[in-house]
Amino acid sequence: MGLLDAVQRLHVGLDYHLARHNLLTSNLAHLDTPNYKPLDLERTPAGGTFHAAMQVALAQTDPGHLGAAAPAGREEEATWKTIEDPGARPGYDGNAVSVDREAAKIAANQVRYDALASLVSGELSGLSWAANDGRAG
Amino acid sequence: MSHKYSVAGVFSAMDVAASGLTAERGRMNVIASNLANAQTTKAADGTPYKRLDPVFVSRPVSPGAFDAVLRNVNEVQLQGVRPDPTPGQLVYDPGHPDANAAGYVQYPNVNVVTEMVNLMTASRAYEAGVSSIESIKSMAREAIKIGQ
Amino acid sequence: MAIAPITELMQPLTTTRTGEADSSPAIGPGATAGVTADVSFGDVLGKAIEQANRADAFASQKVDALARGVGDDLHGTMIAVKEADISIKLVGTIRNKLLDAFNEIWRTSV
Repeated sequence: MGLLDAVQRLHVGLDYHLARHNLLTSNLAHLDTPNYKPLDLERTPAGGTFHAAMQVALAQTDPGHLGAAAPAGREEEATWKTIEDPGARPGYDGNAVSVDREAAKIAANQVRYDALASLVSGELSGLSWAANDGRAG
Repeated sequence: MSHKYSVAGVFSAMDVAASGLTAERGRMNVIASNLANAQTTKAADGTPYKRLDPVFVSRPVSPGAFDAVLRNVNEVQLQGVRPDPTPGQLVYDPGHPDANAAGYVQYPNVNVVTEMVNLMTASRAYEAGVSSIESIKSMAREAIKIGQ
Repeated sequence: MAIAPITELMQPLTTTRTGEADSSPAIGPGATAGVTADVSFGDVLGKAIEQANRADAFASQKVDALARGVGDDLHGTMIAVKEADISIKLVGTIRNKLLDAFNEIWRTSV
């Protein structure tokens, strides 16, 4: 049982939102660049039964064969990749950045970041309480 | 926004409000175009400038959602512009280069006063959208305080 | 006395079972004097732990959904986390009170 599993997952989420914030502010910087299409970060969901099924450990049928360890914990990694925002509509100069749309995305992203940060703080303080034997400490 | 929402929450509300802001900004551009061309007697196609009306459409944010409220939440989109076919004023001015055979010049059907009123409406609607997003952000901040 | 507050603490957690013999191990001879005959300390603690487990599992699920971005329920997640936090702390408090009561009774000289 991983005591810090939840914290690790929240940490990954915080990383994602910070990276997305940087990308969205760079979109805003390119507000007047001709033919610029705004970018966004798309998350691939972590794990899932299909992915886990692909992570099959090699069975060692003969002691003389070399064994292979199953990749440990790789299927739990969430990754993200940069994509072009599909909902952006280009204007006359080919620039598809809308300041309202990007600003709203930044606001929503910040709300999610704040929520995750608050949850991490709560998790760690709960673990700290437990580590202090459940008494005030 | 390509994100699928599960419940009517803060994030769907922010996207809807942002769509309103973009639409109002588009409307202001259209009004600005009308105002700038209020005296254009010969546009690109040779006829007098026809004032443009923005066309707004509603799109559901999450039509397949479980939440009955969220299914009815719509965001707005400026689909395009529609020229206003009503003819403009005819002014008698035989010396004008665009005068017709009878000496009348056809001016665009732009009423500056109407356009200014529309501009103020669009501006107020934009402010309302911004204020709406600020409220949503403040609600989210209060929700985050629950867990602290 | 330390026992009286425990009774009040137990009331919202347990449903009283009337007519059932108190067969669960009580902590000491004086322990059952201040509580209703149907409820034992072991049951109380057990129920509290069970509730804390359920609340914790639910909260973990909500937090995971928010972390991965599939959940949009902001205040629901925060409330679930706080409820789980309180449930766990309640288990700790009950355990502390029971230990204090036990120690106090143990130190009673006969």
